[in-house]
Amino acid sequence: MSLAFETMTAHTIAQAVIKGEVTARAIVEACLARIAQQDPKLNAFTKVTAERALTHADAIDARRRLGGQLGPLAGVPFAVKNLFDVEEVVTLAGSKINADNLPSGADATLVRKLEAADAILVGALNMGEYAYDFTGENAHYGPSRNPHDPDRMAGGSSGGSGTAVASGMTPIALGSDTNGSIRVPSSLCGLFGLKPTYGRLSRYGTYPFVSAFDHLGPMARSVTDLALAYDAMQGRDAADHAQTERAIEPVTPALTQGLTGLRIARAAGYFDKGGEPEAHRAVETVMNALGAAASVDVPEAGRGRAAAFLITMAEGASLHLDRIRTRQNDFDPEVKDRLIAGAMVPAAWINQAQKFRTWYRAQVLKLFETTDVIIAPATPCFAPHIGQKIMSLAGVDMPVRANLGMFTQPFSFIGLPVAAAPIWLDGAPLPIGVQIIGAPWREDIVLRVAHHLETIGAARAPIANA
Amino acid sequence: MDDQTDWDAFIGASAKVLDIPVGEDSRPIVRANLELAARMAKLVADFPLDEREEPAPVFRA
Repeated sequence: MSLAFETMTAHTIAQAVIKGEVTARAIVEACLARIAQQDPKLNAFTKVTAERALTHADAIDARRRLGGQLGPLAGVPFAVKNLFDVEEVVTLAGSKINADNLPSGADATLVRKLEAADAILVGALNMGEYAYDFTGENAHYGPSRNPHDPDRMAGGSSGGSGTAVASGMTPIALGSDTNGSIRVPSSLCGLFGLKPTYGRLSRYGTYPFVSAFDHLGPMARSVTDLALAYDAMQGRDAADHAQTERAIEPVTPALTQGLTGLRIARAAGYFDKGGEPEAHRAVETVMNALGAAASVDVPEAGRGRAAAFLITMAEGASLHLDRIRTRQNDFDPEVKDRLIAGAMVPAAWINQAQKFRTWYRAQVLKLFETTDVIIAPATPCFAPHIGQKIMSLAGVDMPVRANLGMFTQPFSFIGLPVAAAPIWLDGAPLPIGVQIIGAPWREDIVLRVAHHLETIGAARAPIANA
Repeated sequence: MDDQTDWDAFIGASAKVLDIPVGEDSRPIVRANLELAARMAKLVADFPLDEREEPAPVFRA
C-alpha cells in the first residue's frame, strides 16, 4: 500500500499492521521521516527515541510473522509530553533544572500501557516549564509552534503534544491537564483531546504540578483514536495513590451510539462572556449541530476558577520552593516570578479555596441530575501570536499566559471528564475548540458527543502542512 | 486588601521568612501576581459558606 503516514489515523494504522498490509517498521520509518521534515520548523520534540521505536516495531512485526496476536494499537507511533518518564531519557518537565537529573530507570505507567497495546513510543515532547503555562512557550527549548500558523502559539502546557499531532508527526500524543493543559492546545491546534475524570488514569511515573488537579490524557485527530488510546490506558495502578478503585469501562464500543437519550445544555453565565466572538460562535455552532437549545448556569464558575488559580499558585510554589531559593536564574523568567508569588500566598486563602471547592463540586454535580452534557468554550480566542503577552478579551486587556485557561479551569478544578472538539468556523483561518463536559466517570458520554460531531462534520481535525 | 496595601513590605518580609531572594527585576511581577491572587482570594472569601463546610481533600487513615 502507498503510505501517506501523516494523514493516517491510529485506527487505520493498527488495522493495516494487524492485516499485514504494512509493517510496523514501515510505519515507524515514515513517522521518523515526517518528524525529520516537520520538527525543525515546529519544535515539538525534545527527544526522538528512534532506535527504541525501530527495535519495538521489529518485535511487533516478528510476532505477527510467527502468528502471534497484535494489540489494538499495533504499530501506532505516539509521543509523550516530556514530564512522562521514559526509560533512559531525562524527564525534563520543560525545565533546564531537571536536565541535571539522571535518565529515568523505567517508563511511566501510561507509556507501558500504550506499549502493551502494541503502540510504539517515538519520543518526548516540548512543554511549558513545569506545566505552569497555557502558551506552549519555553525560554529554554523554544516555543512549540502552531502547525496551522507557525508564528502562533500551540497552547500549553502540552504544547509539543498539540504541535506533533496537528502536523501529522504522530497520530496520538499524551499530555497532562492541571487547569486546561490538554484542552487549551487541543483548541489552538484544532485537535480532539480528552481530560478524563480525576483519579481515572494512573499518573505514576510522571512529574507532578498540582497533585489535587493533575490529570493525564490523550490528544488525537479522531475521536476513535482518542477512545482507543484511553481504553488502553485504563486500569488500576496501586502505585498512584490518587487513582480511584474503578473497573475498566471501555468507551470504544459505545462511540457510535449517537445522541439518543442525551440531555445537552450550553454553559451560561460566566461562560457567555469574557471571550472573543469566535469562542462563543464555536459553542453556538456546536449547539446548532447537536440540535440543542437548553442552557444551564454553572453556579459561581468565576469563583471556582479563582479558587483553582489560588491553589495552583500555592501548590506549585510548594513543589518548587527549594529550587526558587537556590536556582532562580535557571527558571524560565515567565514561571519564576509566579512561583515566588505563590510561595507567599497566605494559607488561609488556600483553605478557603478548598472549602469553596467542596461547595462548588456539590452544586455542579446537581446540574447532572437534569443534564448529561454541558457545552462550553475551550479557549477565549484563536491562537495568539508567539511572544504576545497581552490579549484583548471582550474589550479588556488581559495577560495571555494566565488567561487562556479561563474557561477550562472551572471544570478541572472539580475533576469532571471533558473532551475538547475542534471547530472551524466559516472562513476562519484557525481552529478553536469547545469543551464537552460530563458527570464524573462518564467519559463514554463526552466521547459519544464528540464522535457524533465528528461524524456529521461539525468538528474536524485536518493536519496542517507547515 | 486595597490600594494602600504595602505589598513591597509584605514581599520583603515574606522573602526573608521563606529565605527566597527577590531581585529588583522580579519585584513588580511578584507584586502583580500577588495583587491578582488577592483579588481572587477576595472573590472566594466574599462567598458565604457554611463554616462547617469541609475542605475538599479528605484524608483517610
